Amino acid sequence: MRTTAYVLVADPNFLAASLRSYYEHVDRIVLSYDETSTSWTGTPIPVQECLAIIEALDTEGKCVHAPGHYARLEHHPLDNETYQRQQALDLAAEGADWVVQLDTDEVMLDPGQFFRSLNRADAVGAGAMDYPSRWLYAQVGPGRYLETSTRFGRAAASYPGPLTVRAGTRLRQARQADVPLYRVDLRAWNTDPHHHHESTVHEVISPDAAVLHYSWVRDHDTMQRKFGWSGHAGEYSHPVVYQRWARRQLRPRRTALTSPLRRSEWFRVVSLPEGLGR
Amino acid sequence: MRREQPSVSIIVMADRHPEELRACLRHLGGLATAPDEVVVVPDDAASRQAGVERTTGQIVVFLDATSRVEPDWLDELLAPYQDSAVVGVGGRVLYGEHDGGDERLGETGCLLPNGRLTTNFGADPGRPVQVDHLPSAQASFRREALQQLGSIPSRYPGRSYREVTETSLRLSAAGGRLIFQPAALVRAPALRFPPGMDLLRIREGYFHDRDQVVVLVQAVGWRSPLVPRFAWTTLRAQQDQLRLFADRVRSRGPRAEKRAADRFLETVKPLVWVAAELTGVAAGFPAAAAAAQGQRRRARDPTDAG
Repeated sequence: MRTTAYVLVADPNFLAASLRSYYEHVDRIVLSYDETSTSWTGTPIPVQECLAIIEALDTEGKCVHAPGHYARLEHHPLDNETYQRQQALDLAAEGADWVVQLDTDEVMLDPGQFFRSLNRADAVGAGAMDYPSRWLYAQVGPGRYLETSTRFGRAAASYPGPLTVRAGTRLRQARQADVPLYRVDLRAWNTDPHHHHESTVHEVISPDAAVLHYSWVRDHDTMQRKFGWSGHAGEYSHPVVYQRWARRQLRPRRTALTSPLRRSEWFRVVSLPEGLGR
Repeated sequence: MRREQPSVSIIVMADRHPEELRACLRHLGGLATAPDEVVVVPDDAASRQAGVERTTGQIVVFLDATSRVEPDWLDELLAPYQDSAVVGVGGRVLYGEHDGGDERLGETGCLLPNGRLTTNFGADPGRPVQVDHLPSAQASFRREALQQLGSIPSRYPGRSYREVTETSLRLSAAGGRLIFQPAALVRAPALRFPPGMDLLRIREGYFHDRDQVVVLVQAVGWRSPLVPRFAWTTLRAQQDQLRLFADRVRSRGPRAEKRAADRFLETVKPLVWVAAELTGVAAGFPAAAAAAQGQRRRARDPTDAG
């Protein structure tokens, strides 16, 4: 089974850790970026800084550059994201059976388990694999994070989209595709509050084998800029989203303790080994 | 045409409808590649094992008498056996005009971590895929794998499809590969409960859950987390029935035109379903213990049919 990957080169945070976590397991990595270093919303992005990081870790020459024009400001940012991903996916799919589509702030904790699950997904004939991400909301101290959880503080999976798809897949929006999914979760019953409680779970893994998503683990400046370049910019640009994040980062214990009282947005405080995302 | 394939015995499971059996045999006569032997046995608990003992083919195929095979069915069914790790192959079954429910591709023949089984054997994933269990309407096994397993169980009277499920799961748990081959297609009449047969459905629900506990214990053992998970899954699933009951208690609408007795029956039906499912699971544990005891007894004394 030949597996390749593509990455959207835009954000230097966690980029090296993300790529390093699966570098050994893929044959080729397509680097997709805007040739003018401009984001989907028209803001500047540090592409050259990212490429320098990648060059330093690409010891086996697996990375292939694929610049293009993706800052199409006449289109919705999410449409631009889908367009860029599809172009990158099509390039990565050449000569491959499966394509990994991890974002650069997502780090595999146990690549061996990830690719074992992918083998199983392949064997049962799935078209894509939904693999659980643990969504880190904010760093609250050295090695301490606020992580989204179930209402009562158990590990919860989040699924930003299938993390691997079969070569030839057409993306519907961002990483989403209308194909049969092989779904891995952290328990035998769905743990993602955004999915129906009866959603099928094909395989269970330990939270220690999930993908860590350092989604909002940034400093204040980067967070404000991220809300500008993200495909979800329209949704995140409301001041209250940033203010809530800043407040929760300041009072993590209270945020976790009051989680059961909220209708949604539940968190727990977790410790992770320092340097995982470095 | 003669295959360079293992020899094949087809065991047709026939119930009391000779016209269906005739049609099934007629279709078998039209196969591009003929099997080495075809044996017809009654569709009851003990007949699968009896069929195995009376035949000699290296591959044993169980086929429901309601099935209508396509001409290339047998060739397609046998193709995955070229891989020596494959111990069983099942094919696609289309009931009535159903197109197969392809929206659940990837959920064919799975034993899920919550202890439930998916079927979806009408789906067409476009190529052979690995599964945990096979469809009872058309399932084939290597004879030597069945012999290593002992015998095909006969502990599910009246529901012989469970024997194939248990056999498949045990082979899978022992490390054998089972393949669903969608190109091996059979058609069968639509499976429908006639109108007004809700009691039959409820009875089926009870036996389904009871037998599922027995199947799990036999296939993966008491210590597997799948057994308590299945019980918990069934319990969790009742919230939908309880919600339905609450909705029916609250709502009136057009149902107000119905007779009071019909209204009452319709309202309490979800509760009856909950009771059937939960008692089914509860009954599964002593039934599984009895099955395990019977198996130990037979291991000590192989002549004990008990």
